Amino acid sequence: MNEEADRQHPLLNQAKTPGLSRFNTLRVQFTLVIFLLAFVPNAILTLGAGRDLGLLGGAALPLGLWLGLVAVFSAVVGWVLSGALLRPLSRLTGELGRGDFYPVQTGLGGRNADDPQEVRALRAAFSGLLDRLGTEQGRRNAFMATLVHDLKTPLVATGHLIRTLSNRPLPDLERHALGEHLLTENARLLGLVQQMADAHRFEREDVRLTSAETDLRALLDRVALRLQQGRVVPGVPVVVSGEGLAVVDAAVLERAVANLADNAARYASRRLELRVDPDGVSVCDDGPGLPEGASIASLAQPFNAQPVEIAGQKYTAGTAGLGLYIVRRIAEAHGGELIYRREPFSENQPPLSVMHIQLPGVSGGAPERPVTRQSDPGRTEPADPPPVAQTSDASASASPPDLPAPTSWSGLPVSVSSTSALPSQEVHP
Amino acid sequence: MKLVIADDHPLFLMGLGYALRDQGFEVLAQASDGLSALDACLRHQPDAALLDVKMPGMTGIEVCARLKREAPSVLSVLITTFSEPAVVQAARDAGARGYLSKETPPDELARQLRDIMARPDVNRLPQVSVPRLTPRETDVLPLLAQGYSNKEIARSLGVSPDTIKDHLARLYIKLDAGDRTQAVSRARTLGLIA
Repeated sequence: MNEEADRQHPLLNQAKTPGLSRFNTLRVQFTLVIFLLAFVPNAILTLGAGRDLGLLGGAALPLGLWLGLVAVFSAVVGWVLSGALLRPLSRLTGELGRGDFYPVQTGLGGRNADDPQEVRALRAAFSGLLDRLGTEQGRRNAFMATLVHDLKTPLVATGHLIRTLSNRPLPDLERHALGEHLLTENARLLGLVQQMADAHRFEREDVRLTSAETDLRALLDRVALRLQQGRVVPGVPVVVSGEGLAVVDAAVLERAVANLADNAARYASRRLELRVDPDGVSVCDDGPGLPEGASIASLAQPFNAQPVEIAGQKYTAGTAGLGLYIVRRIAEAHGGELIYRREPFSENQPPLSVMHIQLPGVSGGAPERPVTRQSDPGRTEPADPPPVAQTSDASASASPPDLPAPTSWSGLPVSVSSTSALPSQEVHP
Repeated sequence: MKLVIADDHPLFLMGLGYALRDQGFEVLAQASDGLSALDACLRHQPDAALLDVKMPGMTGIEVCARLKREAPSVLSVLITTFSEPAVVQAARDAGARGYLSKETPPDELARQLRDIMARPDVNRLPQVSVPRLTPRETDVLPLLAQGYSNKEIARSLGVSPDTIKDHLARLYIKLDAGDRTQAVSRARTLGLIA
């Protein structure tokens, strides 16, 4: 079995050096120490007694034989004791060599329950190392699965469609629609590649921030506008609400919010809200939320393998949580954290899924746009917004009178939502 | 030649539809999940169904198995990026007549589909040899891959460590492995575990 292990684990073989060096083992060293400790005092005593008894000189043979016997006995005792002392270590080496490693067991009376503390520590260290290797292998599998499943399929598809566009006369409308689909897919793939690159980078190094006081409402408005402009087909209106200032890296935080908003837009069916909260920013949607049993801690990992069950077996079919991982790292870099929770929406409606980026030091108001409202002196509204495109949307007409008039900084139609205590604007498709 | 095609990737489905029509096939229906694919096949009774393996609700392999029972005249052909031997084996067991890669160029795809339709009884699935594991061995394998000891696996499955030792011994033989690491590695290669 050990020879087999040696054959399969060349590094263990390399550790075994030829010639005299092969005796440079802990067991030989322990044996030598025990031998010397046992033999030297015996030899000194025997030689001293022999001189007193006149056994030295011509009658030295019995004394020599005796010393020889003591030497052999000391060596045997040393060899046996060193073997016993090193048995846990030898067992651990054998387990690792055979790939038959048993992690630390405590109080189970297992086969390694009698390991001394040092060997248990070593076993725990190996256990941790193997866990990390397992995690890394899982990530590599997920990465490869992303390449094979998440990237290959759309690339093959774009090939088919480009061939169609090149070889087949299509009506203008159909050709235009195909082109739009290709561009959307292209943007999605670029986004995925960017996420993979970011996740890889954020795994190796800290997120670098250039922080400055930032109007969080303006940041959310930009995300909402981009989300709206990037849509090929109209989707759920994006509601932006709340106000606040915080010292953040606006560009980096905007990417985090955009990641969450893109994801929310995919699952929202009626409600998609970007909100400034007293302690950060939130992205809310009425989609299904995180899968049952999943948590931010388990999902927001780089290259989190996404298993799919085929014929009773689980296979890695891509990766999940890349975007969440990036958001988590950005939140942590700002001294905050990413929190997931469910919030009640309205009667007979499923609760909202809320991804909250908690940020330290958020203060209310927006001094860059200082128009104080009569009804609430502590709050501010845009002083000079770009031209407003009024909407005939029912929600606008239903706005309560104490909320500000509908505004838009983007020229897009907006309306005020009545679902939030703070003023909000809704970007319509 | 009439087809139903199914894939959960909308752009691939669209591209495949165009490619097959360009090659002279009539695409009767396109489905984005397994149940819709099955429904479309039962309703339209196409010559063949070109099915993705990984689809929500019902995998392409499950659709194959249902078609084999409920619409045996519809030839099931899988088109996928999965190449794990265990998946191929499952496709064969489910009655798939072909197992094609998504990368196959349209003209080659058309040629292979026509071959399958012309001689459906010829076995065209890739030759794979996947050991058949007992349900208990199938339970043990993922725990082994997670690095659990015999005792922990035994506790998890409610059996004795000696039983686990026996299962492992049989697994080593089936997987042609000398130890745990080899067994896990070989099982991964065969697609028996993720």
